[in-house]
Amino acid sequence: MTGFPAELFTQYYASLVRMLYRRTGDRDRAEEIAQETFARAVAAPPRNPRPWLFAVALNLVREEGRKTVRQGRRLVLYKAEQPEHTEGPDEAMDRGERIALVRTALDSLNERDREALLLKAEGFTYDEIAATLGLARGAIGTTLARARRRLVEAYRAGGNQQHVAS
Amino acid sequence: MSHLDEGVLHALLDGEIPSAELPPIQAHLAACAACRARLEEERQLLAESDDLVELLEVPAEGTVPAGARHSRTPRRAWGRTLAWAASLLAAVGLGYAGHALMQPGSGLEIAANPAAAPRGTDTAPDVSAGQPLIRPQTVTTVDSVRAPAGAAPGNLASRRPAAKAAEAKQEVAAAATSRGDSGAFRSEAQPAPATPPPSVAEAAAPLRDQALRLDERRANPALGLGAVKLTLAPAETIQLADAIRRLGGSLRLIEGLVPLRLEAQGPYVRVVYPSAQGELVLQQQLIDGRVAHTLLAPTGFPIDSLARLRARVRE
Repeated sequence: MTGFPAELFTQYYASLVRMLYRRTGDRDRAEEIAQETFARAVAAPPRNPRPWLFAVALNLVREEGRKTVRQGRRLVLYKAEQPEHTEGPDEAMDRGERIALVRTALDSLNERDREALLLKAEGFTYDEIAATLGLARGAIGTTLARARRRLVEAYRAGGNQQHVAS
Repeated sequence: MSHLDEGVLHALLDGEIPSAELPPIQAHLAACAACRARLEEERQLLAESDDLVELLEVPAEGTVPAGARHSRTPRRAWGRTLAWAASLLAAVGLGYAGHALMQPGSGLEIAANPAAAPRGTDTAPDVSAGQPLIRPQTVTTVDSVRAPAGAAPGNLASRRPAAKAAEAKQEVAAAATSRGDSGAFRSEAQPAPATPPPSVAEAAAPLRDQALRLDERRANPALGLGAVKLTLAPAETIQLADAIRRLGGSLRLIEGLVPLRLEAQGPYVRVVYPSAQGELVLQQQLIDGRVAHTLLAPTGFPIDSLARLRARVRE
């Protein structure tokens, strides 16, 4: 067991935090959940660490999401200016606005699709995604296809609208 | 064969089609222009989706990214954190051999402690500010900066005084060193020290004696504020109960974080936490019945994060 937690940490911590940040939009929360996940791994070392770590982390996100009251505490603020001439929405917006739109588009996906997409972005194979999310391997291709399409469509749709803080 | 569905096309693009299933799919693509066109469309969709996700990079601490979501992060109960820390340390404490946080001969020096006793007195310096008398040469706290490369050890004149985080240029060296064997504790984010540590000149002595020697040096400028080098035994991993005992019944932890391990080296007890940049160390020691602590961070650790973590140190 010597060095095992440290090796896990070195290998997966940054990737886990990145996935959690993309999932939650909150860096502090991402790091806290990642730390809690690794603490659990130390207490009960998994045989297949990567899917286990990410599955535990995603479960923790869902648990916190069910417990946390978010009404009035969640603020999504972005603004997209109408392009003055006939060019695509990307050219008319700066990077910050693009990020805001991506965040909103990602939130529009259902939970499984979003998580499959984020795990794929971390280099997970179909087998690993299936193991992490408890899905059939044969369904992963369709899940990712749907997630990617909906993300892009939602992003494009958001780029042509104006929104205000709520 | 019927047209290829989007799941198959994406699995093909992701390289996830088992080799045995590839030939019929490839044969169909060779014969079906519509599926070839769809494959190209899905390829572009995949690329665009990847580009969008990659925009969501973890921001630097202290910045609020556009479209930031201000959601309340629930604070776990402090007792729960301590319970996790205890269970974590109980699980790993016996499995680790200690390693030296400081390389042998790395050298320690007494920093000019602004809270130190006035010149000419023999009273121990006041540590109410929480600043330890002895600061590792290669590691700095959030309130101090590393001496410029090449500066003579103990050349306190070369050290810039502590400044506000927003004003001072902070360089925080790696806090931990790797073990010589497997390097299991090495964090890839931690750079190796640029220069070898200086040799150790003196054995460890009681802190009060060191303070007296510092006063003597101050009284006699000819002696210079040179370094008093200490030799410490290698760090060893300890249990939670041992850590608390060494600190006279109290141990400080960072609220909300779960430690990797506890270490003891000489008078120090160190609580080691993981971070994306390497190991974060809450170093503590008992001085005149009171616990003094310092937060040591690896290179690249965000300054704002350090300040916030310091505010979360609890007994």
